[in-house]
Amino acid sequence: MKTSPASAARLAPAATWWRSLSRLAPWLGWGVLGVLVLLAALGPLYLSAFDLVLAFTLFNYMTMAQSWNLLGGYGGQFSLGHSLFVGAGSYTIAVLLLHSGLPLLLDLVLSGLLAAALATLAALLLMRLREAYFSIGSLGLAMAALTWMLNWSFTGATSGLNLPPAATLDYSTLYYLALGLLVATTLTIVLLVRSPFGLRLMAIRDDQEAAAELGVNSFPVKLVTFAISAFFVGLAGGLIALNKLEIEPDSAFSMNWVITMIIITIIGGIATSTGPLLGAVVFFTLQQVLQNSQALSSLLTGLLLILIIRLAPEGLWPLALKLGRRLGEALVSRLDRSGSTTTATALAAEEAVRGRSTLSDG
Amino acid sequence: MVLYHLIDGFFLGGLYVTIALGLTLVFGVMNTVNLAQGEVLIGSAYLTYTLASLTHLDPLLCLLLVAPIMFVIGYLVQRLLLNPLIPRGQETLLVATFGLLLVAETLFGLIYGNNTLSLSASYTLTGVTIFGDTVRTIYVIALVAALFLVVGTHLLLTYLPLGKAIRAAAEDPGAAASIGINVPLVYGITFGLAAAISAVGGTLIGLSFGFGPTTGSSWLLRSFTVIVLGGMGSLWGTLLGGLLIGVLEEVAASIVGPQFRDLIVFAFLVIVLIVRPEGFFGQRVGVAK
Repeated sequence: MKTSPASAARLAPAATWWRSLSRLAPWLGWGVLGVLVLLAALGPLYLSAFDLVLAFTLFNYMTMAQSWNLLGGYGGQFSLGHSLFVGAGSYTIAVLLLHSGLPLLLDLVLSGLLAAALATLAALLLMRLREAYFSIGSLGLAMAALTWMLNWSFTGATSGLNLPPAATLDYSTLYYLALGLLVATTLTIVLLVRSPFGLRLMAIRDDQEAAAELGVNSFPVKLVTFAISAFFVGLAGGLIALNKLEIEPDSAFSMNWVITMIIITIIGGIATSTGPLLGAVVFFTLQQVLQNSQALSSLLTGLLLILIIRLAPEGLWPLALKLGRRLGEALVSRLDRSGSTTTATALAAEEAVRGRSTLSDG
Repeated sequence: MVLYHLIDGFFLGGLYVTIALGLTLVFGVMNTVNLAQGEVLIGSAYLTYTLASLTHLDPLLCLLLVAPIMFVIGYLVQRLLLNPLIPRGQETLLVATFGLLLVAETLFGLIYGNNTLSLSASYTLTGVTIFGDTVRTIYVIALVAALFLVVGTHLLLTYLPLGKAIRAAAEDPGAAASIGINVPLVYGITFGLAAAISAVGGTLIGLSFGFGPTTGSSWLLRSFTVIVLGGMGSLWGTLLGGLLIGVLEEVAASIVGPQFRDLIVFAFLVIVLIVRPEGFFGQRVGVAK
């Protein structure tokens, strides 16, 4: 088939429409996100107290997965130790509420900051390690912290702490705090990974030696990433403590936290900003639908994880985008079959040029 | 008495060698860190538990059946799940073995409940006197088993055609394939062997301590500490590392208190990782003679 440039440029109507749609996709994504945030912001107007608590949990899952994804996905540092920061956040706010007269919001921020400080220390220890060494090292730190907390009498050892009655917040306040944290986390991370800092981070992930030769010093980049990731997880930990009102080491430092973050991120799509949000919805829905059989639900999530890593390792969100684009193309070429035969070629060329930059990362 | 703690730790170390050897083999040959190693161990303990309560046979005798079952499971996991993921890099393998960890943990809870179980035999509560110190008989058995397993694996890798194929595949899979070695098959057999060896470790865990659906990750960390100390993937390193960790844990626990046992091991793991991540002894299975 011979095609002159002129005929390739003259697209059939459906193709033109499709092309402008894919050009608008990022804006469409932001628009949908804006509407969702607006709907969520009005949540307490139409949601029952029960639904608000559910949404609170969902938002926290999203925040934590998003933060893990910054380090584990964009940074390529597969942390198995993030439970440490959930526990650190929970305990910090409890201790501050019990022993200091500081206002609650300040306590909350401090719980994030303490988690970040711990992460900085951990990073100083672990950042030289690569791949599995880092994963196991971080798991070791988290387990060591759990053992320590089980024996530390200042924080009540195994029996843990009860938050003072003054810390009791109503459901819509908790809801707004979790929503605010989610929006702040997502915005920070989205902006961060699209900044020069984010590019350096991903360059280090993809090839540390090559990045070093280009003058990227990996240590401070990894350190800051680790601290930011832990900061938001610590804040989520603080919120979780405010909701539960009594905390003890086995649940606050539970491995389940980091397991949840990893599952959500992998299911939704690692190293994408929308993936953790979508993954959290899938994970949380599965958990709620099967809440009468906790075991069945974790069995299914485990199987889903294996299935995804085996069949679509990039995750559900990139998969959905790919399918959507393919479906759109098929539709367009069917609509335009009577029209120009060059449509498919032109579209393919365009896809090749613009690649993932149009539809992905909405 | 420090001497007694040294002796106790030495024999406890034998147990640690048996639990870490499977991890060593899988890392040394396939360069895969099996995050589900703890579940392989605990799963074997559960299998032995079922078999022993059905047949009333001695748990160690049950291994004659449990080890082949674990071999088959390990072989299938490598062939069906892990082999196709190898080209995608180590992170994918981490996620996959992590998924296995989750599924296994849940299955254990579903089938056996969340209670702590333990295996019992005539020798679980008895002791042997060595240099005036009473050592648990099961630890003595563990040390003997550890020596047998390490020497046996060494002989297999050095002298048998299968062992030579494993070493070739470990050193250079591409070159091994080009001289007619079926690398995916060799990988499958290696993982199967590792699982069968871990069946011994798991059964010994069941005989020495209690186990439950979620105790796996603490054993994963212990195994990992051993092989990091011994030099990832080295057979003799695993032997030395296991004995050393056993002694260290026992002596340190006698000083700061037994409730900090886990803390000692995990802190030690982090320290070794930081100071010398390549370990102290030996080389990988494939590279060693």
